[in-house]
Amino acid sequence: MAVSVTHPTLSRDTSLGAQQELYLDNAATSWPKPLEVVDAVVRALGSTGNAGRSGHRLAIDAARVLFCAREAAAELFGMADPGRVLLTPGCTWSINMVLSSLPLGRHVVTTSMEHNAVARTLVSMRDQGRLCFSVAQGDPETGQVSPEALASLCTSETCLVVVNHGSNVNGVVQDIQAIKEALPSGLPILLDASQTAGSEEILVDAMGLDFVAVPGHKGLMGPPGTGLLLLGPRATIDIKPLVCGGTGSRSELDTMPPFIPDLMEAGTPNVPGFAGLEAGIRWLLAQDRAKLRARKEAFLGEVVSGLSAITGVRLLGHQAGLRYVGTVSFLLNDEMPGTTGLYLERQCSIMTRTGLHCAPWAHRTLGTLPAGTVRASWGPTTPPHAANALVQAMQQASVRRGTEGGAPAP
Amino acid sequence: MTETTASLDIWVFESIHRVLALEGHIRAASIWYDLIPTPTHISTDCGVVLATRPTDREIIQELLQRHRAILGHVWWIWV
Repeated sequence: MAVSVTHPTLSRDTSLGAQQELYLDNAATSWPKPLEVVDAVVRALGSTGNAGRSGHRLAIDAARVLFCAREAAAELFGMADPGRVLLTPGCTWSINMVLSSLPLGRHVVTTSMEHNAVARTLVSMRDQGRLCFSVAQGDPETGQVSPEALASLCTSETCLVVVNHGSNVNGVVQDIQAIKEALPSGLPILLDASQTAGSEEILVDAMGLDFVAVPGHKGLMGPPGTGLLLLGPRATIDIKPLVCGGTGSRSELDTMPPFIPDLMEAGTPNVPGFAGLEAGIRWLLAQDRAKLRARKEAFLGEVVSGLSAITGVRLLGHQAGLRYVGTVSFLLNDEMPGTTGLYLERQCSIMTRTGLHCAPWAHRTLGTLPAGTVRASWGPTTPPHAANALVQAMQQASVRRGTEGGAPAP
Repeated sequence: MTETTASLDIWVFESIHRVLALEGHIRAASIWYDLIPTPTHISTDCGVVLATRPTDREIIQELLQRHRAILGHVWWIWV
C-alpha cells in the first residue's frame, strides 16, 4: 500500500523554513524531530530484542540501546554515574515515582506554577491521607516564585520541595540555585524539568540536584513515551518502584531487585523509544548550544516586542530581567483562546495550543482561569521566520477583531 | 568472536547495565571478551555475564577497582 508522507522529517525535507505550516507547540512536544531520531527508532525496531531478558545478540543489543541512552543523558546532565539515570515512560511517571516514595504522612512544599503532573498527584495523595502539602504563591504578574516564600513554608515535617523549573504557560524559569540556597540544608528538591531539559543548563552533580524529572519528547527531541528520572548523588529519599514486575535480574526473588536501575524499571522497556531518545540527545549535544539559545532569545524578543505593539493583544507574564524558556502566552481582547487558535491555524497555518495547558494552578496565579491563553512555543527545529509569521498573523487577527480600526473580517 | 581457551574468567554483575559499563572499558583496552547467558548454576542475575581470558584477570581487576563507583558489586568465577 502506498503511503503519502508530508512529514518534513520523513520526507527528508530539511528546508524547514519552506514549510507551509508552522508548528509552534513545542512545549507540548518538539516537532519536527531530527531525522536521526526517526532513523534510530526504525533501526531499533528492526534490530533489537527485549533488553536484559536473554543472553542472545538481539537481547544484548537492546540492553546496549538503553545503556547508550543512559550514557547520553548522563553526559548532557553532567552525571558521573549513568546508572543513576532511570528510564521511564515520561516526566509525569518520573514525578509520580518520587512522590510515591515519600514516607507516609509527611509534608511537601511546592509552587503555584505547577503542572497537573505535580498538582493532581499531590492532591490525590493528600486525599488518600498519604501526605499534606503547602503551596508558595508565584508573582501574579510573572509567575516567579520567591525562594524565601518556599523556605518559609518548610517545617520539621517537610521532606521534599517540588519546583516547576520552567512554566509551560508563560515560560518563566525559577532560579533553582537561589531556591536551593534559601531552603533548609539537606532538604531534597524534585525539579520538574519538563520545559527546561535540553535548553536550560541542568548539571545534576555540579548543582547538587536531588531528583530531576525529564520528558524525552520535548527539549531532548526524542519520541513520546520516553522520560527520565535523574537521581543526584545525594538523593536522600529511598526511592521505591511505582510498578513491580520482571526485570531480567534476580529472578529468583519475588520482590524487586534492591538495586537501581533495575529496581525502578519493571516490565519490557521501550527500546525503540530510548534509541530515539539517545539520538535526540546526541543531536542536541552536537548542536552549538550558544547558537540555539541565541535563536530562542531572538524568537522570544521578536514575539514579545511584536505582540506587545498590537492593540488588543495582552502578553502574559513577560518582564525584562527574568529568564524564560521559548514559550509565550497571550490573549486577544476578550476573545476565547480557542477562537484565536483556530484562526491562527485555519487562516495562517500556525499551530499553537489554547486553553489551560494542563496547568490550572499556573493560570490561577496569572489570573487567566478559566479560559486560559493562546500559547506559542519555540523548539530547536523551529524555523527563523516563525516569530515574524506569528506577529503578522496576530496583526491580521487583531484587524479581524476590529481592534485596530479595521473592519472585522467576514 | 571465537575463543578456544578451555578456561575462562566469568564476571557476574547485579545488572546488565553494569556489565555493559565494564564492556566499554574492556573494549577500550582492546582485551578479548564475550557476553554470554548467565549459567543458572552460577547466578540468576541479569541474564548476561562477561567472559574474559584468565591471563587478563589482573587488568580486569584493575578496571573494576578504578571504576568501582560505577560498576558496583561484582563476582568473579573461574570456570
